[in-house]
Amino acid sequence: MFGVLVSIDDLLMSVAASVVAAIAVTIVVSLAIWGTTKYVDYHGEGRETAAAMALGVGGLGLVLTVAIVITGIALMVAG
Amino acid sequence: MDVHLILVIVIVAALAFDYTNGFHDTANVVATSISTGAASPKAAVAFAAILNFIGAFISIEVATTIAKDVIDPQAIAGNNSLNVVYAGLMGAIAWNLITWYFGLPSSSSHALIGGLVGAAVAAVGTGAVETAGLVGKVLIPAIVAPILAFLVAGAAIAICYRIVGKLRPGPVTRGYRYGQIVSGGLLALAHGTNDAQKTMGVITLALIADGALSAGSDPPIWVIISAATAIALGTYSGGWRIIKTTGTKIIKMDSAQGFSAQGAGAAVIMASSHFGFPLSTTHVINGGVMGAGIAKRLSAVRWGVAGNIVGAWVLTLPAAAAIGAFTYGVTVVTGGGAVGPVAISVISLVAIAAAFVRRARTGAPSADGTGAMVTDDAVSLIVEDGEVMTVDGKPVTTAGVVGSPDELDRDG
Repeated sequence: MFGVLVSIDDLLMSVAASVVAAIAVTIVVSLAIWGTTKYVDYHGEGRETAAAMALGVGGLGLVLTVAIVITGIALMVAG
Repeated sequence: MDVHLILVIVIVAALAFDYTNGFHDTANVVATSISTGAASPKAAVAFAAILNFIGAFISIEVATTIAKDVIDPQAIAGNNSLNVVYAGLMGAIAWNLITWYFGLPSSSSHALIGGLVGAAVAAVGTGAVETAGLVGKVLIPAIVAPILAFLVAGAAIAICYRIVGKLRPGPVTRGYRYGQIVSGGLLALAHGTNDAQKTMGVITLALIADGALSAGSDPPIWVIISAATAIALGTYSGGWRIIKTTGTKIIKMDSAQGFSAQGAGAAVIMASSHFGFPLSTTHVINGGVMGAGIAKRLSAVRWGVAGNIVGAWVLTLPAAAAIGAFTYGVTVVTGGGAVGPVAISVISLVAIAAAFVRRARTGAPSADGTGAMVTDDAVSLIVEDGEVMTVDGKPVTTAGVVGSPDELDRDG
């Protein structure tokens, strides 16, 4: 009865897409914040190698944030 | 001639509903950004209005659901079919305005669906209701989505604190405020995508009922553009009373919590829109807000206020259905032609104007977005040029003019 009324596949896909998108964006934005904050800290302490690595993590987080957002909107538009 | 006049009235009423939807739901979209200080009210509302407009063009899956899967267009076909759609809309508009007046963030979407179902049942009985569509695409997602947003926001804030918890708070707060520009933007886009489509669906349903479109047609482009414009204008007009409830009364948020709540809400609404589920954006974002709050500590959520909101949610479907059924009855009593809709529309406009005047006289805050809110406590003060606005020496808040912050807190 439940299966007749509800498209289980659509519902599960919707749930999965919501979880993956929200968690992915949260992780990459948090990594961007972690990287830029640690870069400032390490740079201030004169630890340039660690600062460069932290900056790389921050930059990667930023790029991935933009990529995930654009991919999500593109998927919506494509139907 | 009479039928075409009713069609025009239905389209105007649908766009008016869309406007009230944007007006009513502005709070859901911008409250967390404003309450965490990520954006000023003026910027947040303008940004949300623009993205609401753009979002309306992204998808038509929800419009298709409203036009075909809630009530059967063939079942209501006949001379009174447009009156059914009109009565459903009036049920939704009336309930939206009642909840706006009392500052309750109920669901515009459920009001619309409740109004349509109530009017259709009054007209031709329960046979007009598409049970599978109503249960499978509206009621089940209506229960799942807020719970999902709650859980996802809880997981998201836990991840945030895990990654940045040991860092200096200043840069972290600034970072998540920037993040909220992204998450708030996505939430506004998602809101436009899901909610503007409901109006497109209703107008499409009316055009099919009128015979102007064949059954199964997609919304014409003029319908999409007009629905997008109406919701964007409504959003820009704002709804300050409800902003206070959503943004500050449920929970005191930091910027990471605001980001998590908005991100979870946007993800749930956009994914659901993709599959044609007409969700309540109000329910979803409030679920996200509570999830982001409870992950920090249980007592952070003001459960009394949350309970009032849940009460409004539960009432929405039956209340809008009852108003829709009553309105349909009035159109029948007045002859079934255009006389009923015209008379009801005039009376409604007078009632709405009276409500606005009464609200203005009782000290409603300005809705023109000229100030910024300070929300370091449960108090939301309207600030202009760095100074707290006052009237007769009393601070002006999002709840109006109050004697003192303590008084506002008791009000909450």
